[in-house]
Amino acid sequence: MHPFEYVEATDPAAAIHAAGEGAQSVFFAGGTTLIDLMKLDVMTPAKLVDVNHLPFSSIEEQPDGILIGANVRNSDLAHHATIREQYPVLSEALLAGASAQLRNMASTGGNLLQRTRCTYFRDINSACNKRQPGSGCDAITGVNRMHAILGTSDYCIATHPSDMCVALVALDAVIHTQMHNGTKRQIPITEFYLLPGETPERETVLNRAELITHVHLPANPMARRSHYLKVRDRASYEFALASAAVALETKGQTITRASVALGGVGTVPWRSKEAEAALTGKPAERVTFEAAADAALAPAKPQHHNAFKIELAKRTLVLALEELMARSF
Amino acid sequence: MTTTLIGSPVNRVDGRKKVTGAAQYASEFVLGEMTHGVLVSSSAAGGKIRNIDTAEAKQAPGVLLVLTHKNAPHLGKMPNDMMAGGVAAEARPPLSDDQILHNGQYVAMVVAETLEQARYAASLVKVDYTKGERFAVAIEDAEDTRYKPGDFMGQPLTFERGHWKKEFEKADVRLDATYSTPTEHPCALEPHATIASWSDDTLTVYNATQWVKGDQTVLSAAFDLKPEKVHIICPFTGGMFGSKGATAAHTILAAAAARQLKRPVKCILTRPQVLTDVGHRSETIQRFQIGATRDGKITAMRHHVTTHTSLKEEFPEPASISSRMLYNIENYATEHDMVRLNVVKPSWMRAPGEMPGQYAQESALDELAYELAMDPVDLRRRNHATIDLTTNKPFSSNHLLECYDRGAERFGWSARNPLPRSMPDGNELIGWGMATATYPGYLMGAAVNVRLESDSSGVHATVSTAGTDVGTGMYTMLTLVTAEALGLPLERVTAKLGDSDLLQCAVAGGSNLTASTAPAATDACTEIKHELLKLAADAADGFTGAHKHANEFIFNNGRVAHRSDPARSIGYAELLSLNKHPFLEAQAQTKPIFGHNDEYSFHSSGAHFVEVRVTPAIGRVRVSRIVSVFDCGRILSAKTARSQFMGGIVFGIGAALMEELTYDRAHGQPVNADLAGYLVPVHADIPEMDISWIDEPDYNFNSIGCRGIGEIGITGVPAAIANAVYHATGKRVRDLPITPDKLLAT
Ligand SMILES: Cc1cc2nc3c(=O)[nH]c(=O)nc-3n(C[C@H](O)[C@H](O)[C@H](O)COP(=O)(O)OP(=O)(O)OC[C@H]3O[C@@H](n4cnc5c(N)ncnc54)[C@H](O)[C@@H]3O)c2cc1C
Ligand code: SF4
Repeated sequence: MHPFEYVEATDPAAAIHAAGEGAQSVFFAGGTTLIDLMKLDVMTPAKLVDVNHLPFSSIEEQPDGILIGANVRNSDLAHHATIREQYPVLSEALLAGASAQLRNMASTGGNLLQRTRCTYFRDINSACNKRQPGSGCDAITGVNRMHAILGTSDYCIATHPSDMCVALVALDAVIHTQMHNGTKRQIPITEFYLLPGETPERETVLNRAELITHVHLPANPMARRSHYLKVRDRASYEFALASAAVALETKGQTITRASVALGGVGTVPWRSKEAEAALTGKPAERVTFEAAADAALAPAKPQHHNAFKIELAKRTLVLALEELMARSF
Repeated sequence: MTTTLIGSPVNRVDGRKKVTGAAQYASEFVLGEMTHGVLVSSSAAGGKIRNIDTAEAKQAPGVLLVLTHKNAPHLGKMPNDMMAGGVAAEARPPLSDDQILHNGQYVAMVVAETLEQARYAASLVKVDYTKGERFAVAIEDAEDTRYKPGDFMGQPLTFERGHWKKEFEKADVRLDATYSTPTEHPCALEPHATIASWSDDTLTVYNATQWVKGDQTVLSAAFDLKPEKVHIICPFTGGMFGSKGATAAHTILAAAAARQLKRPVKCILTRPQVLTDVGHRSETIQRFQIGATRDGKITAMRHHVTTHTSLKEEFPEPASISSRMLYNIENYATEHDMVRLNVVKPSWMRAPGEMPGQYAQESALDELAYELAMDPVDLRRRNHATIDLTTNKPFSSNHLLECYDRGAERFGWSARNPLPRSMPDGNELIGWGMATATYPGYLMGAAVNVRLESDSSGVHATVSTAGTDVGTGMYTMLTLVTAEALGLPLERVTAKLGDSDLLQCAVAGGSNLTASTAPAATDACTEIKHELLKLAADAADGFTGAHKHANEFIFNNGRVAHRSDPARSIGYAELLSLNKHPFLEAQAQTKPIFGHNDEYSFHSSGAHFVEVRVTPAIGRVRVSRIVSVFDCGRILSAKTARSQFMGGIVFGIGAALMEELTYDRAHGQPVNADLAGYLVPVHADIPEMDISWIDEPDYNFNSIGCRGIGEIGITGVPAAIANAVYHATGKRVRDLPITPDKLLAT
């Protein structure tokens, strides 16, 4: 770990100002990603700007949806009564992530910006275009069982590891930010993440020192009937091999609206409009779900060790839809 | 003597200390002037150090010393053998040359005033490597190095009895199947840690260890000191499972740096260093060829084992250790091949040999049972052994058949329909499987001191030996055994452990420490009781000649009483006041037994019955129920014993479903060397367990009748789970761990 300066920000403008000074400053929330990577010398910031005291810790119910402060802890969000009732997919996704201890520390803002678990990214002796642009990608030739099959490039195949973000993508969440001149932005989460392409080091559309203040969940009656299913190598405290966030609206036996996102398989939290199209207007039954799964995974590109994820992701999606339909509302 | 304590479920005597943080582990001792050592690990997996540049590191704030192969002190030759009383983890002294044998190998130690300074400075050490000609981290990449190892613990690894091949070829039913297990790591919760400190020519080391006497032997050799000049202290160890039996490089380097700096040096391995630099369990590839008659008699068995070792040293994971003796198979052959990999020397890990061996053997037996359309329990009963064919000696005490009976009964095994996929439940398939557990009886020897004394607070006893409590419950067990033997309440007895100044005691390994120490403690107590009777005979009314008729007296609640008339009694305090010293002290010891003596073979056994629930669509396996029954001689401390069995079973679930240390074959580093990447079970993976024991004492083994219990729990569990998965799904996974991708593929 390299020596660093630590500043506690008292208001958003001061935080943004402090983080704007010098190229090596970063915001510090729960620290569960940041400190971990600092200990590995993967991130070597010169300054940490602590945002934990900024006034972004509440969950507000508004007429057009719910406004979640960036500092709201993953555990608080997961157990919030309205979230559990109106957006079960989000609560389930959060509770499927990490461990109780980590969720107590992890913030909403930090979770959006958690870094990949790619082992070569986390090892400074490996070649990694994301960590060190132009150095190559040891994962493509190395152990890549956990890596992505959707949205990959010849430069990077790293999985976006978040569970929360998969649910947020399915819910069309909007990310609220603030910049140094006081300007604020509202960025739909589906436009927030960048595919790796030739520049895997650029992961989001955020500018430097741009502070996430809130996440807005639009009102969405369909979200009441939503579900998250995660498949992993142990029962808890492990990243997804594949996961699916699904929400459905039906009329009689027919699906009238659907929202589908996949985790553990994409370089970004993966929204599948193709699956949604395959579901909409069709009867809510297994053949439809399988057609949607085929559509979702049609663009998948396997690596040496992760071809199984194509079939697994399909089955995860089908099972998630079946489990959702089996619930009574 | 009324037995009240032995076999009862008393609470851990150190439980309160542990949960309140009062129990001090090696790295938690606070010494004045402490400095902090951080090790720099090689990023290359082979070749040589071309250049190592420490200039920048030396100038970093707080740095006191940077040791590399260029300036490391010369060390004496260290013992490398269990029988020599100590084992250096690797024969090559750390930092002794520019050779790189594996990724992660230490190439420097940086010592600074604070941990943060040392850690930062360590990142400034620049190393240039020249690549080696070849390197390999997987068996299939190292076929050119295949060879046959020598003996393991005095026994050949390749041998034949009878004529397996002839019998195999003419057998009614034949099975030929190959199983594999990956590299696994013990991953004890407490990372390996040392604090070393010198005063004049005496070395004091607080070490996370399972063998203080072993560390003393190794360090006295390394630094050319008399053993009594090396003091090892380890009151508590936070788990080890074999990985703290050898004296490791970080301990030796901390001592070397402390000598040079004349200040204490603390060195704690990082989690990646633990996984990379502390010996693992080798991967295994095991081929079983079994011939049997139609009615299930096994007429031939061949067990071929391939494992790996490091480039220069040998540790053969002895996977055939149980196939050679567990069943009554006259025509048997085993062969062991090894290859050399660029990895740290493999080492002991809970049930070395039996764990992978029983996975393969018990899976093969399940396959054979299906071939024969025979119940898997019946197949095992049909081939039950009453003599150990490797030594031709009868088992001293063997209640395996009762374990099958009781386990099957408690599980409800008789309701099993053997047909795979015959128990669907909604989205899930239920499966039932079973396997045999086995582990030798080891007793490596210990000397125990017991002291009974009296002061203003009353009478109390101290039982002590240099052995360590690695989390198993040694403190509790020795307290209980001593309290029972002396007739004192539990709270009147204190156990002292983990200090090389105490009496000689074997390594806390091979599940031997209870069997080694409990009889010695009891014997020492017997001697003290004899002395008490002598004092009574000399001085107390009504006790004349008492020591000549010891059987006529009982020792209870701190008093000696007439068996015929318990009201006539005298207190220990009064008796001690008659002694010329205010205390009585006695020592006793046990002699080693490695699995057998001239008359008997000593083995523990057991049976696991497992239920799994598989969600076939996504390849998810959950263990939903386990019934295990063990025959391990007499159980002394029921609660800590149950925890040992349970811990072993949890290990088995990990091995079955998730554990695997994976290496990058292009560069040679492990890619999941931390606890987020190397998966071990979490609570959610573990079902309720029904654990019980037969509790028949084995007095041929020792005077108290107990054999070890630390390792047997793990043996057989992975096979029982794999067999249950087959029963649930019809899919036979012959390569651990059983992960969703493998269930989807087969
Ligand atoms: C062992 C382990 C297992 C895990 N398992 C899972 C899992 O199964 N599923 C899962 O989803 N996650 C998992 N996680 C990841 C965990 O969810 C994230 O680490 C956590 O959500 C990050 O939040 P934080 O507040 O700690 O972020 P920090 O570590 O504080 O910050 C992360 C990043 O976000 C930036 N940042 C923080 N706040 C803001 C803000 N307000 N505005 C702009 N930038 C900001 C920081 O600069 C930093 O770059 C795991 C983590 C660990 C260590
Ligand atoms: S997959 Fe991406 S993060 Fe991983 S090594 Fe390649 S470039 Fe780096």
